[in-house]
Amino acid sequence: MHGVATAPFRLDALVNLNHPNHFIEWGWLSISRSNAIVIGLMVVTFIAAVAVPFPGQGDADGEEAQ
Amino acid sequence: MTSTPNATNWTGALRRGAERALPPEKLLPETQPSYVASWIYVFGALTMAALGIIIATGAVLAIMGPTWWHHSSTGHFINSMHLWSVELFFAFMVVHLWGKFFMAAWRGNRVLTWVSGVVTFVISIATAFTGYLSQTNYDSQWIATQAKDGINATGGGALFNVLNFGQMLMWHITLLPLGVGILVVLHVLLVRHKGVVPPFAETKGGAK
Repeated sequence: MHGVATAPFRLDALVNLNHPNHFIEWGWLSISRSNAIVIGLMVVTFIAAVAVPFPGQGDADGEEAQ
Repeated sequence: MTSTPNATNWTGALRRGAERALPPEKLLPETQPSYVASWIYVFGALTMAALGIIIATGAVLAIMGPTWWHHSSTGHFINSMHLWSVELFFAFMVVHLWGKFFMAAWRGNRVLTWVSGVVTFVISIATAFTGYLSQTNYDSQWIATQAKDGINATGGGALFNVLNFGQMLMWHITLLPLGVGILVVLHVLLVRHKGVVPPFAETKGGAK
């Protein structure tokens, strides 16, 4: 590769992206599968951020946390 | 010219105003109310951490230049860090934004705090888009030609010409990051000044 030293081994991508994108079609909605997955993961992250108790939160209710 | 505690020049007035708005114990508090112990604020802090990585990697890219980031392994790595820290920056910011939206975080005279966050989000999108135009590859050329019609349709194509690489690069590395940086600092100072919005249960009888 243009004289650049290559690593002794390389990891392939976890997901094979070497193909045309897949699209989810639902009525007027058209969204790429990869974008839909990212949005889904963000929604899951948001729900977890609201639902998962913060460490040390239970014993400091009504008081000032350190 | 004498110096007295009651001097009315603008520097003294500015200092007294800043001290009133943000006394040291308010600017750098040691404790916070218990409701601040929430993951939503962790995502706000993560957003700023990602912004720090973006600025640092962007500075390295600016120093080394396009040939380096296209052809050197280290350049590829720093370029990828710049891209992925932007992806995380937006993901963290949107989670933080969703949380504050459902908390109605503009309650209690905190409208400016909310609006400064929203405007930061909008300017960040413009910064990211001009970043796509600054890659110096076929992808950026394709995006520029596709964006040209859209910008022309707004009537702003003559002033903001996405086919003008130099102009887009300058917006991406000077004006827009400066805007994001100033707004983030303003946002944090407003959070310190107004305090974090209390939960609904704490504000009986409506919004405070």
